[in-house]
Amino acid sequence: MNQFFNIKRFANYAAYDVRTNYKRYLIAAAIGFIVVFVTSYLLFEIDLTRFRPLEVAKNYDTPILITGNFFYRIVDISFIVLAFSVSILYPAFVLLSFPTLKNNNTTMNYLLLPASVFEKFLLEVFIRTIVGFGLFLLIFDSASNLAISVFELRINAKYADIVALHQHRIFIDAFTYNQMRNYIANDLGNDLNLPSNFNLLWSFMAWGIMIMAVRLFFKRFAFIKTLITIVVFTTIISSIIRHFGLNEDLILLSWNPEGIFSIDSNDKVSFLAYLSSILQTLFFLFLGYYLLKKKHV
Amino acid sequence: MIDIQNITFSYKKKTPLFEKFSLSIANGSIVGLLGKNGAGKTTLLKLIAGLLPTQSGTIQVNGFMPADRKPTFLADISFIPEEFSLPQLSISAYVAALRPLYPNFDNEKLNNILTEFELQHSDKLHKLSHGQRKKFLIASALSCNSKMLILDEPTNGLDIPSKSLFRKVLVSSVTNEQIVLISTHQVKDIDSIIDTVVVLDKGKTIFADTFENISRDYRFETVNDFQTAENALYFEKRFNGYPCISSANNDKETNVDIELLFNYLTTKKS
Repeated sequence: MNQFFNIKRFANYAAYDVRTNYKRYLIAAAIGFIVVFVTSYLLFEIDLTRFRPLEVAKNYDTPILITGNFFYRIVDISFIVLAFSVSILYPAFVLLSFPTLKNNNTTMNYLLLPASVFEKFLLEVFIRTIVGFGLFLLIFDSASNLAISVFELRINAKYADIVALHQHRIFIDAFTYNQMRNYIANDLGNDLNLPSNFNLLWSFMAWGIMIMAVRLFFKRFAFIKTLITIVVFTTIISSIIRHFGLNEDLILLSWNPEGIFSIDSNDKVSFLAYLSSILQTLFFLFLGYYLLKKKHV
Repeated sequence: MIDIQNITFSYKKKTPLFEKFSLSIANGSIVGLLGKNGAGKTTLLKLIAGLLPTQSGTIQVNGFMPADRKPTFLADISFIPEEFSLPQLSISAYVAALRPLYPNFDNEKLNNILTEFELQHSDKLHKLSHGQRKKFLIASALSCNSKMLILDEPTNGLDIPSKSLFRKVLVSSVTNEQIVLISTHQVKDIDSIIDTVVVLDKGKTIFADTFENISRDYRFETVNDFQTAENALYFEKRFNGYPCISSANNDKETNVDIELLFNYLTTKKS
């Protein structure tokens, strides 16, 4: 049997991880859902004044009268919530990777599980970055749409007299990623083509792998220690790049999401950005694997 | 087969615990690893399990280098640490997760041992007492049918009936293909099940021999008069007289008093 990777063993190990950690994953998903829902709803409430029926439509944020009903598009609020949650919730989920390495007892169990170091590392990368990010998108979609539905009920109740008088219901557009994509493209004046989308997903994965690798340096209080290290690390790298007058896009791991979106896939800087992010990701992948391999109790 | 050759190991910034340490243990042995607190018993077990790296020297366990932690090696080793944590699951859920990882897992054996230990499949692990959780750990470790079973202070936390049940279950479960390493400082708990004694002191093996050889080479008896006891290699004063160890000189074999032997060896050393 291959000692590095075996698909059956990997599947068994993955099943073990899901069976023993499913509560942890469910709690993380529930927290994500609640945070997105509450944040979205609160921002809708704060921005309540925009939901004034019969106001003249000037842009997509104000109502558009269609077939006797008022339609609102609130994609800008969704964008704020998405940007906030993607930069808080996703890193937090990744920062909580390797939960079994928090103390000697659980570390011992983990290291003695019959799976290769590569399989253990691969599963964590897969769950925390690919599955984690995918799940995050699903959770965001459902939580924001729930917030929209609840708020729609609330706004119709608030303006019940106007709604009754004009026999117009107020509708808020459901959140979709396509709508968000168009919004970002429109806002940035940049067409989010396939390479740009790939860029975006790749950079989140690269980001996740870097966090996981750094997390493996620590045992106790890994969450906070990793967070501090990453902030210091990215600040230093950004300062160096700025100091030498290089384009900031060279680091895809920047904390500034605008930097990620604004990469133009056609210029040389983009190519360098791709190259540097691939090299960084490979470096952190190897570093993470090595640190896990050298883990002891 | 465990083959340890000239290993050196030290924890960070500390003097080496093991220096040029060697030890060989053949398959089919139930080894009692004895020693005072801090003698290096747990560290040795961790080195054998690949949980700690040696600074020099080699350790081979059934042909594997433990520090590589290859999956085939890990599937053939069961380690019951003194302190442990289990997930918040029922026994059946945890076993269902664990079983596919161990190719030799024996479900029937698990059921039998759980019955002996009066544990139910529906029991929640986090709601069991420490002793009950230890019993479950012992049951699952034995059911894995691993070639090497490592138990670190297995009787800690077990009540008196459970200790004797543990001995019974262990003896009935172990085969000649397996090596069982039991580390303890409660020598009385395991004296009836081990066939080899290894005594560690300050990172050195001060004694390693089989029960057969011990009973051939030493005589264990309790005498009533102090004069006779004084001529022995070692004696202690107890309420029923003076238990002592003497050279056997082809006498009739006596029952090995492992605690007395341990006290003799550690006293002699110091």
